[in-house]
Amino acid sequence: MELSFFNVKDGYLEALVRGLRSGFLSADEYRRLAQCESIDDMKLALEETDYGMFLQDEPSPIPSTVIGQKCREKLANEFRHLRSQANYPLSKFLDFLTVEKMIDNVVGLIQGTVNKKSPQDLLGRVDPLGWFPEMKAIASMDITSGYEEIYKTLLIDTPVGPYFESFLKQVTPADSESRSMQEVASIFNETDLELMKNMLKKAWLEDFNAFCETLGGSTAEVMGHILKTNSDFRVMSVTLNSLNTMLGSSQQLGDRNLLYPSLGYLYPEGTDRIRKAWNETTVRAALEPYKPYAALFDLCAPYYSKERSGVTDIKQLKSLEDLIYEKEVELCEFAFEQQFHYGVFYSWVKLREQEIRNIVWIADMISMGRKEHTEEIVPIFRPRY
Amino acid sequence: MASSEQRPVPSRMTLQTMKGKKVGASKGHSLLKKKSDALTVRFRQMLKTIVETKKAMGEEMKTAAFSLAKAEWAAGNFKGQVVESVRRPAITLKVTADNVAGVRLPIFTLQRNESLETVGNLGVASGGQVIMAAKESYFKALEALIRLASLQTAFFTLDEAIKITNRRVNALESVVIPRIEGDISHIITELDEQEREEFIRLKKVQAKKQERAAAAEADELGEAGGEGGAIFEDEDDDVVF
Amino acid sequence: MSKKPRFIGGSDLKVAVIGDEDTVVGFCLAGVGGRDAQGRSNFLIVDNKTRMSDIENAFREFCDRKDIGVILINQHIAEQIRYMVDTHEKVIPTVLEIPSKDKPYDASKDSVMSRVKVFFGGNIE
Repeated sequence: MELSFFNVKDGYLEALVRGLRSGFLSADEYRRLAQCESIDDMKLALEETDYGMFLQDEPSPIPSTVIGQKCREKLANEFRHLRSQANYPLSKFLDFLTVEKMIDNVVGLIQGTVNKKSPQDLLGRVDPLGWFPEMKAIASMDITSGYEEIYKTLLIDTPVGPYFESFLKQVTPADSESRSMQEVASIFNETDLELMKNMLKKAWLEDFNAFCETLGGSTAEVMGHILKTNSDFRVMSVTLNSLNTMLGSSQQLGDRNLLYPSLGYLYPEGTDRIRKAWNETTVRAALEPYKPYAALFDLCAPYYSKERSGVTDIKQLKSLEDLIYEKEVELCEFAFEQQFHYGVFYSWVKLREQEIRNIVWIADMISMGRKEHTEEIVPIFRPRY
Repeated sequence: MASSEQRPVPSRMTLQTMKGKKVGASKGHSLLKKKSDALTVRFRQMLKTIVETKKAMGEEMKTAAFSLAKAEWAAGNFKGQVVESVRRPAITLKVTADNVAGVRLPIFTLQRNESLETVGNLGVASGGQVIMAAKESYFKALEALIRLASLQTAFFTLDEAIKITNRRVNALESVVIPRIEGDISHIITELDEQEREEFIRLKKVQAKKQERAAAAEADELGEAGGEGGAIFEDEDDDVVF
Repeated sequence: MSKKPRFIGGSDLKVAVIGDEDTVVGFCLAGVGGRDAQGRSNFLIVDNKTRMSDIENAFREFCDRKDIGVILINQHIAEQIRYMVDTHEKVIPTVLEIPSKDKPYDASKDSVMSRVKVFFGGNIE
């Protein structure tokens, strides 16, 4: 049934996305980019690809950040084109994709506003994919009038309101139903914004997963796999990145554990085991029953071990992120192998993000004159033999 | 020019003070010369280190930039957050002084207050450790830079000090000492002159006295012989006719 | 040397940074960044939208501030305000020209290096 009706509503958009899939940079194009001598060369090389003339109005020299931002704008434009033609439930699915970026943006805006940055500056660096009209209100709100306004703006006006709500519930004692403005103020003041962001993202991930499950069919199947793997990666990432830091210390394990999403293949037993882990050995032990993750951990463990200071060839070591990117690309590529599900939209966005990362990396390496490193990217849809 | 404006009063006492001044000046000259040499030695040593550190710094910065790119790759766009989360600097400089031949050279030392670091949880879900690696490499670059900063301030201070010292040495050598020497020789010539004048004067006085004594003797003789002659002779001096 | 250097004693000094985004972010990451209650910071991010007068003002401000010991400035930015860097005579703060990520360090442009060069007979290689 699902298969036969999918095309009635979403067939056109799926076709579009599959068309966009062929717009990913090919191995040849990457090679051409890597051979560029300067950013201006690179701009010319990019003009021959699907990116086209998107950099032509930028005064040279173009910093790599601007290239990244422009790429993201292009992605956001294409995304919006899809979004405007989607109807429920695909529309909601696409909205979920933007929410992740919105969280980033909102947190960034709060931080910037607290520091009295000019709204134009702040709005200039937000991720265009997570753009929403109320952002302007956040950026220009008057911080001196107290946190009441932030509270209102965030909880009422933005699409991420529900996540903030759940975040506040988590950090305040359960019984205090009516939180005073003062309390909210102190929460915003005291909580590490980075932690807040990740708690919001965790809530988003859980919510997204729940939504995908309601969709059922192959969407639930494909997306379920992707999201579960992602949340497992998240668990590993949080764990590894907090090793040997304040957050990994025993006093703050509680804070760290709040960041673990309650889904994924690790959940609940594996997550529970990891919750108790505090150093490389214990983490390794906790991951032991989960072979793929344990293997992943072994690959990147040297990067995180305490003794790595003094090791000079740190550049040769791979961090967990390098590995996760590779896995994620693989995961997303597979999503294109099946038809009649929404996973392709998610995959397309993620792959484009990876491609942008690749481009920015190459641009960085070229401007630094370290072309030997331009190979260290994760190509998308690389030919398989 | 050494002695045009004001000549010291030529007297034995001024000569004595002048001689004292000369001794002082030459002593000062040799001391300053030594100081200038000491500074120059230190200066030359430093020049090499400055050039080396500058070059090393270039490398260090390259590594740091690379690791930052790596961090961006792993953690996405976190740069804005870094700048926004800045509060109080975790790194401050303590300034102490090193003493080279009486010139105080500032030395910067890094002080790192880990508790003030604000980026602790940055990128906890992605790339946190990579960011930390970037942080460390920038810290290393900063250490090199601070060493360079100390060298550079020392370079400027020494440069200035050497210039001043050399100026003083030269001033002593080519102005003060020649002037004192000129004064001394002037005094000596004056004194000699005075001595000769005195000698001539004494000679003159003696001659007069002898003359007078001779005249008196002649008078006595003349009184015995005839007075008129003597009177006539006397009148002969003033009366013209 | 007309006035006695004021670096003995006194409170700890800060490091100021004028540079492109990467340079500033890097050093803020290392922990040099500071911002006081008035929102006054000890760094300036220069991009191609930054006006020359902003750079000049920031440089002048950092030079005049009593709590700054070292000013790090990207070489290509120092180029833009070369006349100010060259005429900067105070011992503290001292100005250090540093390379930016996309422009390798060019010793011949550095005003300190050009002074050093004199002592090597015009050749520092």
